[in-house]
Amino acid sequence: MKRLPKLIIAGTIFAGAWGLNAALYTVVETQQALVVRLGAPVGTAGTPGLKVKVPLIDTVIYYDTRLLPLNPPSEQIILGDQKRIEVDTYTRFRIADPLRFYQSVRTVEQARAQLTQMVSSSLRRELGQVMLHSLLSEDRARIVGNIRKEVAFKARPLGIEVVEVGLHRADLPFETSQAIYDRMKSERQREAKELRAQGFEWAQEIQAKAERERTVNLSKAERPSR
Amino acid sequence: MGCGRYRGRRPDDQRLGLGPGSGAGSGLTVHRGGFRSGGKPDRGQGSQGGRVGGGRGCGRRGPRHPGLGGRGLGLIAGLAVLGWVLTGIYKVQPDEQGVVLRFGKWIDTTSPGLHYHLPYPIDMAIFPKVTQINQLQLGKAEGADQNGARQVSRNQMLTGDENLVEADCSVLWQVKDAGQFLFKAYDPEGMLKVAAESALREVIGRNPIQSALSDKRQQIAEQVKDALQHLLDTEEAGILVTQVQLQRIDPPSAVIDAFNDVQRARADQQRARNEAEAYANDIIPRARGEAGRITQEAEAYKTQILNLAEGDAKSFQSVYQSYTQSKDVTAWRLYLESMDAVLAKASKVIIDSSGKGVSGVLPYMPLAEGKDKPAAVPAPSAGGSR
Repeated sequence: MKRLPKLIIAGTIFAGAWGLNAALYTVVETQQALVVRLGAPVGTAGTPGLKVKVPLIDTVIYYDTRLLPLNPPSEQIILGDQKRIEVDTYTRFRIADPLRFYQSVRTVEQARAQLTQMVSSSLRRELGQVMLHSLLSEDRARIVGNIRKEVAFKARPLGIEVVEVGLHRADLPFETSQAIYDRMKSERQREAKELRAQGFEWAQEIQAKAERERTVNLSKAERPSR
Repeated sequence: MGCGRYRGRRPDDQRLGLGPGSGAGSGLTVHRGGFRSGGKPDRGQGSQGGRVGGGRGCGRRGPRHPGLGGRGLGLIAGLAVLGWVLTGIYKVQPDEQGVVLRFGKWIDTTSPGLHYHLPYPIDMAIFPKVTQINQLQLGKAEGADQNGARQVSRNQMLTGDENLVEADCSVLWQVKDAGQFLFKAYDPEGMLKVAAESALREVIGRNPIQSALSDKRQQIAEQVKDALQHLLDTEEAGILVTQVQLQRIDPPSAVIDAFNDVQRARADQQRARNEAEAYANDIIPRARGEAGRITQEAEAYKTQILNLAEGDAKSFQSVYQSYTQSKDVTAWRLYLESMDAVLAKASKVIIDSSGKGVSGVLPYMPLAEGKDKPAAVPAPSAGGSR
C-alpha cells in the first residue's frame, strides 16, 4: 500500500513522457513532412525543427528535400539526319510540393519511373529534329535546355521541380565504332602519304637546283677557257 | 545491463535521413551526443547515447537492501542529469567545420575548437571535412585490365569532327559550403562524378580531334573546370573544383598506329629535305672548286703555249743570225742535223757497192727487217775471207 503513490507518480511520468513523444516530431534539415490525419492530408511542415501533431491520429510522412538524382539507362535515339546515337541522360529533381506529390505519385520510386518516361519521350522528340554536328557544337546547351523545359512543365503537376536535365553521354553506338576507326585510319594514311610525297618533292627540287648551279658554274668556267 | 538506467534513444542515420555518401565517403563523422577526443573522460560513454551513472548504484546493494532511499535515488538522478548535460561538449578538428542541428534544424556552423551544444536529443552536431582536397578519377578507375572491348568504350567520346578519342581525367575538389554539401544534395559525390563526365564529354565534343590531341589540352582542361563548376553551382552541391587534370587523351587503340604513322611521315619529310640540302651543300662548292681548277688550267696552258712559242721564235732568230753570217756552213749544219734526226730512227744497212774490196757480194735481202739493227751480214765476210 505504501508503494501506490510511488506507482502513480511513476505512471504519470511515463504517460506524460509517452504523450510528449507521440505529440512531438522533428523534421530534420534534409526532410520535409506531410501530416496525414486518418488518411487525408492536413498540412505540410516545410521548415525543419520541432513540430506538434495530434497523437495517435496523425501520421507523419517524410519526404526528402534534397536534390535527387535520376540516372536512367542508355537509350538509342535516331537523330534528324538518320544517325543513331546512344544517349545517357541525368536528371536532378526535387519534391517541391509534398501534398501534390503525395496525391499523385506518393513514393519516390514511382516518381522516378514517371520522370524517366517523360525524359525519354522528350529526348526522342527533341533529338529527332537535330543533326549530329549540332550536338557537337555550341547548340548542345540550347537543345538540352529545351528538353529540360519540357520535362519541367510536365512534372510540375506531380509536385516535382525539375532543376536540371543533362546529357551525360552522347556517343555513336558500339557497332559503328569499327567504321569510324577505319575512317580515321584512312584519313591518317592519306595525310602521311601527302607528307612523305611533299618531302620527296622538296628534296627533288633542292637537288635539281643544286645540279643546275653546278653545271652553270662549270660551263661559265669553260667558256673563257676555250 | 545491470541497474544503470538507459536514457534517451540511440540515434541512427535513418532518423536523420542522411542518405548514402554522408558517412564513409566524405570523411564525415556524426557526433552522437557523446565526447570527441579530449573532454572529460569519466562522464558519459561516447557514442552509446546516454548510458549514465557508471553503474555506481549497483555497488550500493548490500546491507541496505530494503530500499535505495530517497537520497540515493536523488543522487543517482542528479548524476544522470549532469552526465547528460555534459554530453553536449564537442570538439571540432582543425580540418572540419561543426554543423549544429536543433531538433533537426540547422542553427549554427562552428569553427575548429571546443564548443557546447544542448544535449541530445535537442541538439546534434555533424563534422564535415572542409579543407581536405579529394580526388575523383574518371575513366581509368573502372578496372585497369585490358580485356573486353566494352570496357574500353566506357571512356571513349566523340570529338567535334565526329572522331573518337579516349580521355581520362582527374578532378580535385573540396567542400565549399558545408550546409549545401550536407543538406541540399543527395549523394553529392555521385552527382559530382556524373557532372564531371558530362562536362568532359561536352568540352571534347566542341573541339576537333587535332586540338584535343596536341595543342589545346590546357585550354580544354580549363573549359572542363568551368563547365563543371557551373553545373555544380546550379545543383547547389556546395563543392568547389580546385583543378581538373587531363591525364590522357589518345585516339582509340585500334587507330593509334595510323596516328603515329603521321608523325613518322612528318619526320620522313623533314629528313628527305635535309638529305637533299646536304647533297646540295656538297656538290655546289665542289663545282666551284672544279670551275676554279678549269680556269686555272686554261690560264696555265695559255701561258705555257705562249712561252714555248716565244722560245722557239727566239731560237730560230738566233739560227737565222748565224745563217746570215755564213750561209753555207749553216745550211750544211742544218742538213746534218736533220739527217741525224731522221736516220736516228731508221734501221741501217751499209753495202759496199764499189766492188773494190770484196768480190761477189750478194745484195742484202732484209729478212728480219725492223727487229733490230744487224751490224754486218756474215755472208759478205765469208765471201770476203775466201
